[in-house]
Amino acid sequence: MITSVPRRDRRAVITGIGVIAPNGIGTDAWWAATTAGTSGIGRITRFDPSRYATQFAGEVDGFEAVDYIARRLTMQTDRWTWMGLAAAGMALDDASFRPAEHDPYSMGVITASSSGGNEFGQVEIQALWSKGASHVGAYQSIAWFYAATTGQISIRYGMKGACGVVVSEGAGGLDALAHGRRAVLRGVDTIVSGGVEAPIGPYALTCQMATGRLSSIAEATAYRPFDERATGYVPGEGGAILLIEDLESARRRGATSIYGEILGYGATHDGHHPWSLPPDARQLTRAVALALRDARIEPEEIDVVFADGAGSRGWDDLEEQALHAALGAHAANVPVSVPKTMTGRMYAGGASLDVASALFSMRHGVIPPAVHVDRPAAGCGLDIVREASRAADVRTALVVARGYGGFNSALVLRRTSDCPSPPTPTGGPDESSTLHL
Amino acid sequence: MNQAPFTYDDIKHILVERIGFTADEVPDDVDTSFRELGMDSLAVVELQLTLQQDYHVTIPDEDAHAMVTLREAIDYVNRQRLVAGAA
Amino acid sequence: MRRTAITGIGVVAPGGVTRDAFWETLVSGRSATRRITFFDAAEFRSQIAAECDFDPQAAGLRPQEVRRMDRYVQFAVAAAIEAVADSGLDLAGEDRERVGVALGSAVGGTTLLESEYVAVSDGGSDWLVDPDYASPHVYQGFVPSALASEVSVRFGAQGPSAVVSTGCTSGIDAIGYGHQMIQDGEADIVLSGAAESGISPISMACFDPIRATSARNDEAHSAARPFDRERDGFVMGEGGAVLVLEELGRARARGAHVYCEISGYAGRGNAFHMTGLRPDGLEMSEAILDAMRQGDHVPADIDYVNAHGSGTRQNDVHETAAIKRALGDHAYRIPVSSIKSMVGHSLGGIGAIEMAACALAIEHGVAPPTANLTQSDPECDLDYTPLVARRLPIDVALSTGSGFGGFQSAMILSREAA
Repeated sequence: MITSVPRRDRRAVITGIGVIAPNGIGTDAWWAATTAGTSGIGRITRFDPSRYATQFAGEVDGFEAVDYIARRLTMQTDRWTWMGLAAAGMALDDASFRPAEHDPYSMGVITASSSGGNEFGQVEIQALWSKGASHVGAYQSIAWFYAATTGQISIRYGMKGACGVVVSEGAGGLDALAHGRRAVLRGVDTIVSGGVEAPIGPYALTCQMATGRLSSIAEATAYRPFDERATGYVPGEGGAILLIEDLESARRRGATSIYGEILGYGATHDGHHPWSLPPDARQLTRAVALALRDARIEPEEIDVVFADGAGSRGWDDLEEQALHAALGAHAANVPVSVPKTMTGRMYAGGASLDVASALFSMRHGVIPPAVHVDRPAAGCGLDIVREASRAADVRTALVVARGYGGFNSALVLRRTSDCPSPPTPTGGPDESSTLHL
Repeated sequence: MNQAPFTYDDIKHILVERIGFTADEVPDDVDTSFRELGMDSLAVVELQLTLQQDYHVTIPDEDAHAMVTLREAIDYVNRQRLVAGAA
Repeated sequence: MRRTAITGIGVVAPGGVTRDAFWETLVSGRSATRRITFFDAAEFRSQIAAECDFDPQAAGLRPQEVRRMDRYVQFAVAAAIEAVADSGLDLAGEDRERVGVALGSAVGGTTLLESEYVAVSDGGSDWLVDPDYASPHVYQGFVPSALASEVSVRFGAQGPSAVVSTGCTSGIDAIGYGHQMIQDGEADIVLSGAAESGISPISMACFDPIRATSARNDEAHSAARPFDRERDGFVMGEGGAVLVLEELGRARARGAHVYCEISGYAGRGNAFHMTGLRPDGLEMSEAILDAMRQGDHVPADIDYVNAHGSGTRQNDVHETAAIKRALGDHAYRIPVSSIKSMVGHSLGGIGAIEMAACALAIEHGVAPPTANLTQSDPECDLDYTPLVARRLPIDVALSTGSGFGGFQSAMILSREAA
C-alpha cells in the first residue's frame, strides 16, 4: 500500500551495493584498492588529451560492457548506462534480491544523473553536423537523455514502481538516495538508487574545463582536497548503485546483507550565485545540521565524515568551516576522508560511491584514506585520514556532497542491529554479535 | 553504373556491426522476420537508416512498415538499385 | 498532514508567453504550431514546431542572465518571476531557508550544448574539439542542474533545490517532488515546475527516424491532432511553467489566493520498452489509481482530465485505455483534452504547463479543448472536448503524463476543501 505521506514505522536500509570505479570494478576489487590507497587516476587514454589543459582523469579500465549486458543493448545505450546496468546487477546480486520473485509495483528505480550519455551524444551530434540530419540514428532519442539509465534498469528488471531521476550535479547521489528513501517510507519496498557518470570524452571534458575548477596539473596527484597545494579536481567516471529496501520487507525475504540505514538527510542551496563562492558556510552547515536533526543524533555520534572535498582552496575552506560549525568541538576529533582522491570527482557517481565507502567502512571497521593530501592547509583543524587506512569502529557516518551552482546535501548512515558484525578494530577475537542501536 | 547485388552477407554485416547481433545470432534463413530475430521497432529503424545512408536507398514510411523479413529488405535494396541503375 | 496549495502560476508558452495569454490561447482553441523559424529545417522529416515568441528582457531577465542561461532556463526564470508575483509573496521578506526549488527538464541545456558544439568542433569536423572556442558558460548547458540553481539564485532561495529529469513526465514529477518536500516539512514554499527548449537540430533530428513527430509540414497549424483519426505524431514545442507551491496552513494564514491544492501524485514505470507502449495502458492507470487513493477520490470526483495526448498513434490508444481502466464508466461522462494540440509537446516542460492549465481550469471553470480534432478514431472514443472550450464547474482535475523510459505519471488538483 502506497501512502501519501511517509510512515515512521518503515525504515530505509541498504542491502546491496554495486560499484564500478577507476580503482576497481566490483566491490571486492574497489574496496581492496580503496583501503590500500590505490588510485585509479591517470593520464586519459580514451582519446588523446594533449590539447586539453586537464589531461588526467579517473578512467575505468577493463570494463567490458558485454560481460554484463547483451551486445545489442550496448548499441542502444551510452557507456554511462552500461555502467549503471552493470552496477545495478551487482547490487541486486549482492543483496541476493531476485526481482522476478517480487511484485513489479513494489520495486522502483531512482538514480542521480548529471551529464547523461555524453559519448553517444557526441557521436550523434557529430554525425548530424558533419553529414546531415538523416544520419542521426534510431537510438539517440533514448540514449543521451538523463532518464536513460533509470529507464533501462527498470525495463531490465521489470520494476514498475515509482521511478525517478534527480539532478543536482555533485550532490545528486545523496539527493537520489534521499528521494529513494521518500519512496520507501511511502510504501515502495525496494528502490534501486545511487548513480554513475561517464564524463570522459572530448566535448564533455571541454564543458567541464570551462568552470575553471579542474586541475591542470599533469600528475595523478593533482586532486588534493584540503591540501595547501589544492589546484582543483580531476574528473572520474563510474559510481555506485545501491539497493534500498524497507527493513521489515528485507527481513521478511531473509536478507542477510544489510549494510546500514539511511537515518537522516538534509539539503540546502546557497541561493547566492550560479558559480561563485558563497559569502559564508551557512547553508552547507545547515545541510549537515538538518541531516543530524533528521537522524535525531548529536554530532558526537558521528564516527566518520566522507567530505565533499572540492579540491580548491576557497571551497575547501568553506567545508572546513561548515564541519566545525555543524559538529562543534567534535569536528576536530572525527576522522574525515575523501576517497574520491583515488577516483576523481564523479558527479552523479561521486556521492553515491562515498555512501558505498561509508557503508563499507561500517562493515569492515576500516576508514579509507584521502590520498596525496600531504600538506593539509594551515588552520584546517580536521583529522583527515591520510597516507593509510585507519581501523575504527564506525557505527554512524556522515556523507557531505556539493553540486556546482550551490547545492549542499548531507546524509547520515547508521549500522543497525541487523547488520553483520564488523571485525573488532583492535584485531582481537570478535566476541559480540549484538550491536547497540 | 554496375553495382554488386546487395546480399544476405551484406545485411548480416549490418545486423552485426550496427544492431549488435553476434554472428551466430543471425540465422541463415532469409525468410526470418525481424520480429523472430528479436528486433524491436527501433532496431528495424536503425537497419533501415543504415540501408538509406550506406546503400543510398530511400525508404518512404509505407515501405518501411511493409518490410518485415530479411529477404524483403534484401529484395527492396536490389529493386531500388535496379531502378536507379536503369535511370 | 501538511497539504500543498498552489498560490501562484507563471507560464511561458507558444501562443502566449504570460499566464493570461496562455490561458487565452487555450480557451480560444488556437494552435500555436507553425513551420520552424529557429533554424533551417528543410532537411528534416518534421519541420514544424510550437515556438515561443519570447523576449527575455521583457520577461524581466537581465543581460548577464540572458548571456549565461540557456533558453529553457530563461523560460523557467521568467515563469518563476510571474508565479511569485501572482502569489503575492514578497520572498525577500520570507524565511528563504524554507523556500525550495524543484524543476523538471527532459533534455536540459541541449540548445546551448549544440550551439557550442558547432563552434568547438568546427561544424562537426573534429572529434577532438577545441576548447578555445568554448563559451565560459558552456557548463551551464552540460548539466541540467543549472535550471534549479539559477532559480534558487534568482530568488535567494536556500531551501532544498533539485532538478527532476524523467523525460516527458519531468514536469509532473518535478511538481510531485516539490509536493513531497512540503509534505515532509523540508520546505514551506517551493517554486516548482519545468521548462524545455528543444527546438534545435539535434533534438528535432532524434525524433525523425522513429517517426514520433508529425510530418504534416504543409499543414503546420493543424498538424497537432491528438486523438484524431488522422494524427501522425506530436509537434515539438517549447516553454515552461512554474507554480508556487505553499503549505496550505501558511497560505491561508496570510490570506493568499489559493487556486487549488495537490490532492494526489503518483508515478509508475511500464518496465516494457524505452519508447513503445502497450495498448492496455495498465501502468498509467495504476498511477492514476494511486493518485486518486491518496486524495481519497473516487472516479466520480474527477471533473476533467488533462491528457498526455501527444498525438502519436500509440499514445492516444494507450492513454484512452488507461483512463477507462482507472475511471470506469465515468471516463465517458467527463471532458478529456490535450493542450498539446495547441502548444505542442515541450518534452520535459509540458507536464508543468499542463498542471498550470489544470489549475486555471479549476479557477475559471473551463475545460480547454483539443484543437484540430475533426475526425474521431473508433479506438479513442472518449469525449476529448473537440475544438471548443467547455464551461463547467471543475473541482477536481486529473493530469496524466507518459514518457520515453516507460515513465507514467498522474497528478490530481482539487479545489481547496475546508
